[in-house]
Amino acid sequence: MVARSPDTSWSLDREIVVSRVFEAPRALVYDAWTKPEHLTKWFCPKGFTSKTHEIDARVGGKWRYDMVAGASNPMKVPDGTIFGNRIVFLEMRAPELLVFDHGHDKDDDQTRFRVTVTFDEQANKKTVVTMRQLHPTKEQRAAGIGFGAVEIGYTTIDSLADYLRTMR
Amino acid sequence: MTSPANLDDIFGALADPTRRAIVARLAGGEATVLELAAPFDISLPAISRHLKVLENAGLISRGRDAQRRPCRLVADALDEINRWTQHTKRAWEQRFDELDDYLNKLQQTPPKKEKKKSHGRKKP
Repeated sequence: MVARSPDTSWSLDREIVVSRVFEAPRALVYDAWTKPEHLTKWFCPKGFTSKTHEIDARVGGKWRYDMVAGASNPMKVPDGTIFGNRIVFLEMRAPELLVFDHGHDKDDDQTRFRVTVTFDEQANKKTVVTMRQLHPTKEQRAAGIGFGAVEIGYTTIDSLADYLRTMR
Repeated sequence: MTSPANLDDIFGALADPTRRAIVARLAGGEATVLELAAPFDISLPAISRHLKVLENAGLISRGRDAQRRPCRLVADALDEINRWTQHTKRAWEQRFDELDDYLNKLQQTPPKKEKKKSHGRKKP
């Protein structure tokens, strides 16, 4: 895949990975992601409320919802600003895997992202949830490229940008 | 939520493994076309085309020296990637916080009406 010279640990990321351990059994965590009555209660980020237009949590089904900004939202957009969202469920394998596209609430949204969520049971009955989101590229969508094991290095991109500035 | 058009160009340019390798090489310092082409089994014109794509996306710039025209990475484009990545990562972390709270609530205080529906698994 990506050729890397041995002297640089810097890599470009094509995906964002967020992982966390939850103190709950895997089946329950999976339900929280795939059952409408649960999903609609937590998925909206803090500072926003969600208003669901329709939700059909089956493969091929859609969840269309508005994200409505509250008075103090982290994106600092005016109170009441509405963002139309659409999630299309692509793969659901209880209780271990969920794949969906997430984007604007319009047909053929070119800026949508493919999100893959895996649920792993630990020996102590806790559940590890790992979310992977690919960077958006037309080429990737066209080719249907899957997820490679690409490292993440936000801080390194950040420090590289700073470093480049000092070189001027 | 929305990604600026520029971000599409940047990610489009980076969708190609050869171009990512060029960018990774340039992270170690500026280089000429010849130097960049050396590790690859492709023609110079092909490398030039890749460089053009990276340049159009604002990821690299070319020096003025007519002989060498060294390529270097542009910090602003990396910032753009970084901003978007951080923003998206933060949004997911907030969502995970919400999920954590929600799962705790579900497990600690089972709602009364749900009790009727349960099949008495806890009963001896």
